[in-house]
Amino acid sequence: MKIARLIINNFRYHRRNHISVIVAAAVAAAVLTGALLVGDSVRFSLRQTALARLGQTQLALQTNNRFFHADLANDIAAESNTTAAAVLQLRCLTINNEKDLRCFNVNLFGVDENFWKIGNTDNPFAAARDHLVINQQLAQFLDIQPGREILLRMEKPQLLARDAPMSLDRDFATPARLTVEKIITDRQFGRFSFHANQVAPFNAFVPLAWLQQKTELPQKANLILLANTNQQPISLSSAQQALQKNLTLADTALQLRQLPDQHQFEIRSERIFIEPALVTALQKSFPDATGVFTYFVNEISLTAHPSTPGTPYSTVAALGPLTPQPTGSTQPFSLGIIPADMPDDEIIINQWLADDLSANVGDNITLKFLVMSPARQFVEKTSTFRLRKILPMTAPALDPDLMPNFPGLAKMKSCSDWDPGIDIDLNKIRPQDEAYWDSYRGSPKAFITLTAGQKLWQNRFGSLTAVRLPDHTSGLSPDRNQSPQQIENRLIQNLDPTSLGLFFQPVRDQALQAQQQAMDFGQLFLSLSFFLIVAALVLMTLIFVFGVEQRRSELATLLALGFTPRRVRKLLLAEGLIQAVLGTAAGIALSILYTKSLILALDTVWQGALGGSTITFHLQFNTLLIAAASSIIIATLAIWLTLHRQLSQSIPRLLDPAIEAAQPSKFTRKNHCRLALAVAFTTLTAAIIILILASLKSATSAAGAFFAAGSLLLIAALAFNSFLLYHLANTAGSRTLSSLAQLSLRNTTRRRSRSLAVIILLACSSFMVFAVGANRHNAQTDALRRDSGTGGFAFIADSTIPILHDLNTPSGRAALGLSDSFPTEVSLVQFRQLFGDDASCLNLNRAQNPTQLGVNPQQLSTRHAFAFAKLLDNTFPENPWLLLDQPQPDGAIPAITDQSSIQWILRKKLGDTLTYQNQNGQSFKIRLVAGLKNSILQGSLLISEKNFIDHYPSITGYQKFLIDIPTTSQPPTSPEAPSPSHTYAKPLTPAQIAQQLSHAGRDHGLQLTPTTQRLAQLFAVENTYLEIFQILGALGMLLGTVALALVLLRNVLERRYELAALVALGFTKKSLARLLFLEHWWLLALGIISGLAAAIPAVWPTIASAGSELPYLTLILTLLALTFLPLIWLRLAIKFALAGQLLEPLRNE
Amino acid sequence: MNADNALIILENIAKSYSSPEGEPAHVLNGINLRVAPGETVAIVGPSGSGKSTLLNIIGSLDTPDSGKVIFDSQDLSQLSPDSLAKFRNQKIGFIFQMHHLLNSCTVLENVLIPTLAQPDNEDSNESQNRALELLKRVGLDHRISYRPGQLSGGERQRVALVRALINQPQLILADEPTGSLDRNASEKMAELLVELNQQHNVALIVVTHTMTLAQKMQRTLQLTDGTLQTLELNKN
Repeated sequence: MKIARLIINNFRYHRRNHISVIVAAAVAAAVLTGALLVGDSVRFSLRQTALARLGQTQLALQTNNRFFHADLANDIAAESNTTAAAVLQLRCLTINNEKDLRCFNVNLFGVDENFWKIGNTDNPFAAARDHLVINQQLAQFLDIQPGREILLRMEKPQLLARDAPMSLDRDFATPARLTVEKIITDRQFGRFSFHANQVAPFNAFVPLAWLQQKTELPQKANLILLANTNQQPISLSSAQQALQKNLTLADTALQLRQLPDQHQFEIRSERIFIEPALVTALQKSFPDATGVFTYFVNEISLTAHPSTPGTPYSTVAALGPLTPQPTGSTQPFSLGIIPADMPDDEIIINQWLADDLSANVGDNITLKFLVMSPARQFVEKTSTFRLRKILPMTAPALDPDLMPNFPGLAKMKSCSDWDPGIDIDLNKIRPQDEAYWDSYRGSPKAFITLTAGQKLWQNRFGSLTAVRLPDHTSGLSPDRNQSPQQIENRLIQNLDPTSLGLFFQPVRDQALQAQQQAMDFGQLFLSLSFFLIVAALVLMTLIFVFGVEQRRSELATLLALGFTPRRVRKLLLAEGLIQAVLGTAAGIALSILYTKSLILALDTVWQGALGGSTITFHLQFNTLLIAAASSIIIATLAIWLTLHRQLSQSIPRLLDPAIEAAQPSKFTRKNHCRLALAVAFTTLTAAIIILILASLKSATSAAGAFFAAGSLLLIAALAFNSFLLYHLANTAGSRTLSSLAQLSLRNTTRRRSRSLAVIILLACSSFMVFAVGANRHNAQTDALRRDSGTGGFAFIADSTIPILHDLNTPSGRAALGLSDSFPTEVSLVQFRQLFGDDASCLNLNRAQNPTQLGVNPQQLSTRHAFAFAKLLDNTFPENPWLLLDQPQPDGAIPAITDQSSIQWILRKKLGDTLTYQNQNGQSFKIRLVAGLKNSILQGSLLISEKNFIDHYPSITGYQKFLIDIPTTSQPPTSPEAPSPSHTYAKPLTPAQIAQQLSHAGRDHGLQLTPTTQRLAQLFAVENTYLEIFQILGALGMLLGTVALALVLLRNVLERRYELAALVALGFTKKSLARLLFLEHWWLLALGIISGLAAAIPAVWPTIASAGSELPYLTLILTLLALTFLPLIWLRLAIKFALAGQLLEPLRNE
Repeated sequence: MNADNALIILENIAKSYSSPEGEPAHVLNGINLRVAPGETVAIVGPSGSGKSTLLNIIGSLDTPDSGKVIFDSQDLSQLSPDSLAKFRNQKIGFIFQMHHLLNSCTVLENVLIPTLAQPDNEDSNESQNRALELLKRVGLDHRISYRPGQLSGGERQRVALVRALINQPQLILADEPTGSLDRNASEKMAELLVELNQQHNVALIVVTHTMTLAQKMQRTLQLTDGTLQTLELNKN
């Protein structure tokens, strides 16, 4: 007979035990493989999503509030031999009137044929039809079918930014009623988006031409998609070169026109104010040109007669060399009006004004004008000049073209029609003012130096309103070669499109990077399943050990027959390997079912973990191989360790269990006791020291230390249990056994390793279940506290279309349409917003460019809103919000965000920086200086409003709001339906306030959400992870209890003669059942009590912190379940064990 | 011996088992036996003759297919399982060939185990004193804190003997008490059994195939073909 034959024979003979080992190994393998397969599936789904949202797009050019000529896309495509699509992208809100359903924050795309080509799908629009195509997400939200109508309120962008001086704050949205032509799927490019998020956006698509016409942006676009339909990558530099080459003046919003009367060319901007990047290019191109800054002033008056009304509402032009001229410049005058040597405190006026004011040279003239704050608040300022000269009412002083196309002025027939976007009193306009307008239109009545004008009126949108060049083609200049085309070419050559925010981004690479660096669900589930895997392995090991123990005499016989222990170990290891392989094979098959169950749970009951997305099952062969190899190695290792221990015993000991029970010697047991006590004492001391140190800090900031102390206590408790088992074994005989309970306790010391394994399993699982369960967050708890996750705010609001005004001011409230009855004590914190990736835990992808929010830090610091988890430094320990205004040594911008976002989504730490490109294409760094603790602001980077405006000057208005309602009662659970049990201060309840705000902001798509609801959404992710961990932990504990039952059965089997003898000695079945129950009840009690005792310090920070509340009921129910379930197991096992003829062994002896 | 002073009476006890061929194998075939209090009886017979089965039936560990077991005028078949347990605990002491001591317990604890079986047993101090006395009697007083694994086979069997006596039974049933012992240990055990029988006036039924042990009993019965026959042995 060969050894293989022996192995096969053994395997067949002991198949019942082997099957149990195989089942346990299969469970471990299935859980391990399942975790990895979930990771594969999530990765696959995210990749599919990333590809679905971009189609074949490789590069994209997106602008913020800048519109270029749509033909630029075709020019770039022709130049770079690619496919390009020009898109006009706006925000809108959509309304299904039939069902009274509104969807905010909808992306509206004006697209043409090329867009669908890049999306690799057919154009869903029938030819030349002005219909609407929407994606499934939007269709489901609005509960609408093709053929039905949707009302759209679209953002109506203006070339002049809406919070620029002289801009209009009305007509910010335009309505349209369109029929839904088709609902498109993700495969049909319905998921189109640049934001790395697994949740599909709300998208609506209309024909490009229709949208351009509707928004009065003819031929304009603000997005270019670049794709190579041959799947060849397009280099970023070649795309940027193609852009540079094909850029035209129209793409920069500049206009070049000839002014025949003045013999000049004028370059002005459709955006009224010429931004710094263009000014720089203009200075480079035309160093001798004249810069113009014309402003609308409220009054010009004689300083000497302040009480006498001056001339109302006039334009004043600041003129001067575009590039500072050296002394002795060849240009003695700017536009023939301002002398080169004129100081900044002098003014020149025209004769009409001089007459109107009765002003004489040398008089002081005062200008009253309004300047605008970022929140469209006007501040009246004055400036006084000395009158230098009075110009006659002829050229060059009479030049109506010096006034830019101010939207509410330029095209007005009379002064009474004026609507300049600032507060003016039309009653002040006199007949002579009307006459001046009729005769001279916007000709400035006064002139100052460019430097003086820029000091007074320069704003974030620009420092010039025009640039004038001499028209050499008019015959007045010796240089006759300067044609309009040459002027344009020269300017474009000196212009870096990036500085205007015109640059391509590798969106495809970014998307794949976001997906590749996404949260690894494989690792996550491995971590969450760790305890379950360990429990399955312990169970497998136990069963294997039982099997080996059952074969002790066989092993002893082999050893007695001359087998070396090594050979016997090999023999059994071969059997173990077969079991591990078979178990793994079964586990791999089982894992598919297990993974699908997990995915089903993630798509349904655990959807919180995925932030609302769905996962497609995906299986990778490599993963299966890795999982299989890992499972076999782990299982075999566990078996090898078991064999090593078992076969290190002597033959007599193997043959006689009684000898084993008497061994090790008392001396060794004493040593074991000492060792266990030493471990218990050391870890207990360490835990106490850590607890003392941690208690000196706040509980929340030392959460890690508390958890570490808890873990050490668990080790101490387990070491103490080990000591207890050995001590009881040692002291056997020193006290008389006087009860069954004492006998049962003694019996637990029979198989100390076995007993300790069960205690460890139960202690660890109850520790996990309790410690993890206690960390669940409740958004409602302490929601009114400033240091809670809500910041003490009642609502958080988002507006689809930016709100321009400060809603804390009466004028701002009036502008939004809030009634006078709106409570003055209600205040808002307003945020500017640059949309980016969601960096909250709701996003599974790694956020590449998180959304940025600009806020006035004072608004949060005065409220001491939100709690901070970590600070980079202690400059403002009491009020870390002030860090946002703290300049960084390297020029980086300080930013604050949620600590969870920093750690888990961005995978950064405080002090790290993120690089962004600002509106001018310049890279800048944002440094993380503080981390908030579990707040509703999770997902965005908060920077100061000042820094935001500096880097994104053209992003107008506010789109996020925190609403502060002073109240001492509970916050509402929904804006529409306040709970009747709530008692809010009269006269308006928070729900009524929310209703008024929502109503006033309806055209902006203002959507209010109770902060507790938002917080609950964010907590849902973490809570779901905790729930998964708890459930998998509980499954592990279930396996632990199975182990307990198996231990019991095994004990009964091993002691069948002993039990039979006890029956013979007069024990009833009932007393035996009680004895067995008590024996194992000790293990259960010791395990659970140890776990719970150690968990208390671990969860202390949770108990102590705001926004946290121990879920007592859930915990108690879980613990009861986890206590009673094993008791049921025990009962069943005892019933099974004591069924039948207990005396049979004696009879058969 | 008349019925009035019999401790145990077996009337027409029959027991059969199914053979591998399916045919019933009649192990006991109408056994009748009376044992007086303090009497010692040896039951001998070849292997498989049904000696242990008979002993198990006497000790209520097994039930006969037919016939009666009357112990101290009480028909055991009328007792409930709990009453039988109590009966065994208080009236009978068992000694098994393989001793079946609790490996987790010390010698003294093993002896005291039967006192834990019934809640109304006498108080533990008295039991302990008796256990110590008995252990001293069998020469194991220096081993009271030893565990079974640390004892020799003979010592283990002596512990089993003391355990059988701890509740002061009226009858000791010993199934091959010397079967796993060497000659010296067997003889010592046999002497001890007789000595304790005389000291405690406890009846003793020993199943054995060791004639030296059987010779020490007052009566020797041979179990052959399912029936008992008196065997006259030379006591010298």
